[in-house]
Amino acid sequence: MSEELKLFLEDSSEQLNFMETALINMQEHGVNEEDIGALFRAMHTIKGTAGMFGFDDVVGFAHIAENLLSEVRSQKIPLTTEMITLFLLCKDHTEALINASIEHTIDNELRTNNDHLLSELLKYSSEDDSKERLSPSVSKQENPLQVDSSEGTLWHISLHLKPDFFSTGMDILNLIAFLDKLGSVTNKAIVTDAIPSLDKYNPIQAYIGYELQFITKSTQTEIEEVFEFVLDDIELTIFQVNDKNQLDSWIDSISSVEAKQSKIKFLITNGFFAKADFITEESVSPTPQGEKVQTTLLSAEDTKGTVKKDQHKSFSLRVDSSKIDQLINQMSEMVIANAKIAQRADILDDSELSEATTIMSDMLESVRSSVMNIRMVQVGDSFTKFRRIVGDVAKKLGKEIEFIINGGETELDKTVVEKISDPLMHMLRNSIDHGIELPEERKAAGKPEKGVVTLSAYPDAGMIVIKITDDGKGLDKTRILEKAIAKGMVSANSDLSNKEIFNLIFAAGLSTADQVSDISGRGVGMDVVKRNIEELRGTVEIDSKEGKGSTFTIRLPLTLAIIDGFLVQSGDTKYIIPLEMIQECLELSPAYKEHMKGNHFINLRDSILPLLDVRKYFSEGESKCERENIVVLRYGDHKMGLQVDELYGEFQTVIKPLGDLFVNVAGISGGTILGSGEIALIFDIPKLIEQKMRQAN
Amino acid sequence: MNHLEYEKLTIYEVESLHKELLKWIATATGSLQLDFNRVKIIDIAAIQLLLSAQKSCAEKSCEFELLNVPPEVNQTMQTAGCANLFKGCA
Repeated sequence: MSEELKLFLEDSSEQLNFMETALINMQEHGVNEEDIGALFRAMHTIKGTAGMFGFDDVVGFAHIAENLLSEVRSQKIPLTTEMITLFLLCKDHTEALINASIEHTIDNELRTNNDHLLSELLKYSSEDDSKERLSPSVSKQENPLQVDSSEGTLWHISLHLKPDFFSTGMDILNLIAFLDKLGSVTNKAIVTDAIPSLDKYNPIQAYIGYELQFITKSTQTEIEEVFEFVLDDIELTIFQVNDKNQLDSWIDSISSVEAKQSKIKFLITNGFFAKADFITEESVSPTPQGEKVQTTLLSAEDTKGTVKKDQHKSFSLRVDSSKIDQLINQMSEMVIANAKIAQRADILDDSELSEATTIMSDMLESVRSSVMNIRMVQVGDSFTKFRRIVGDVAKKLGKEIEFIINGGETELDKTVVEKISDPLMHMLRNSIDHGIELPEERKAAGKPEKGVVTLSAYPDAGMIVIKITDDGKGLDKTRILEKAIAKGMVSANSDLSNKEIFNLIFAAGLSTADQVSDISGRGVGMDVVKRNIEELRGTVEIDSKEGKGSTFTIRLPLTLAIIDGFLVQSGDTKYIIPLEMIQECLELSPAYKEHMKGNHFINLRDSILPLLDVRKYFSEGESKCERENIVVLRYGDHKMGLQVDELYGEFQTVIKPLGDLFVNVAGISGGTILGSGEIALIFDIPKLIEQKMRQAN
Repeated sequence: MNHLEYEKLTIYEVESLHKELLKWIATATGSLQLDFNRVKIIDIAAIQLLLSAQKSCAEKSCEFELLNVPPEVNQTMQTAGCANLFKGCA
């Protein structure tokens, strides 16, 4: 797929998401202008961009939908619930249509659906002329935009010869003449502004340009192909005449205000566009003739006003994520280099140098968090799309569900958000399918008929927690155990804790659903869910009470290449503990030791704190310092103390993988290079705590 | 009236034509007329030069006119969207 096509796909799916969010929002909170506007803009943008790629089927469909939306927007037609449902279907159809257009796989089913939806849309439309357009269907490959001229679409071509164009040996006139073969040129004007008078004239330099409009059935690519061999030697802009967005961005791309105004004037005087087509802020200022280019919005049909304002409000930049990754990598190297300088400053006992490195560290820290922030997106956007799925699934199963989203503003790395989306969807479906009972059953059990499913997100100890809670029937422990025993996954007489039993549902091939539905019950899924989460270095936990409901808790790291660490030493090795997980540090005083009496826990303010002796666990050598320390860690609901020798303090840690050989070392997640060149190992705290808990049990 | 002694008026001829035009314009009074009688072929580089000459003429309020333009040249002028820009082209 070409780069442009990828961008198109990305952009259109974003627009479709906007559309869905707006529709769902209106479904729940009633019709409002803002969402109608969003809906209209989404369709409008899709139409425009699809047109650029010559996806006439998409354009045709979007055009009809846009027409209706435009009438809704100008309050000619009220937006009913049925229409919202219809537009939801339209959103799905547009998505399918776009994908099929890209892959050239438009089939009969799609066409039938297309015709059906179009006739539904037109039923609502009040405009008589649109009734006449009922005929355009995908199968006929006709574009409603082109009804006015049966010959095709009207394009605007603007080309300007670069100074050394003549050296290519190509004659631009041949190309222009060729356009007449491709379609029919309706308007043509040579741009002569740049030609100097004879005394300043360089005979072998090109000064001219052309503005052309022509009607053709050819696609944009085909038009571009005409200029294929001179692309490097001309400045070329091609867009559909009725695509005002494109016109705007073309005019915007002209750098100087004067040039912009003279271009606009040229286009108007030569009859390419009407004054009303230009409504940019710049054109408010008088043109050289003192004439004002009209700036007002002329009709409600015109979307420009709102579009402009919105673009301003949420200006965003599309950047390849690999560029940000690269930036983060370079930052990492800088952090290491800075650590080295800090160390030298210490050795040299140079206070000024030390100060400089401290400032440098602070700056690096803030740059780092800014860079990380680029990748962060609010989870809310991807959560809202679950609303629809929940609604659809509930309807299908005849269940009543109230879906609550909490903490949509929580920010998470974009790739993580994308990757977690599918597992979440699966878990939500499971909750509705297996968890929530049918209304009658709920009534019988003394619960309200409407089941509640909550999806919440919040940050906790340097991790992001995503929770799915339902008030359904909970997991059936005996059934799970029976199944697992029947499948030979556990032995019949094994004594498993609740948690261990619940965790069995993550094993491949276990489904307790009696009937396999298309929603869940095939026993593939939960294992994939768990694997996906683990790939993100996250964990998932289940808590369930029979009759009361279940809670799935997913914990995800912020997936950073650099973390705030805490440097400690045990024996001869230095270790890093992720700072967010540390609650406090305390000295393992002789008084504590006496209390321990050889056990591996201490009494910390009247609660038991299990201890893990790092020196023993990793078979380190003897301690070289007199004092022993405990670092108190918290992960989720668990607490644990790490027994270490020396505490060095905060350290910006660049995570480096340990390589294949050490990848399976339990309790170590990576390594880092210290300023001195030494290597420090990074603890995998969740794993260590898990192991400690297992030992304790 | 100045005769153009070229059959072809293309990028290869523009340099010498440029020199000639400079000379003619310097001496022109009231009007500059170019006789296209012999010219069979013209290209965009030459048209561009003519446009420049027209500009220079306008600067000194001198009329710029093409005479005896043959159909072939006229056709090219039309393709170039310049037929209406020159006096003497149809």
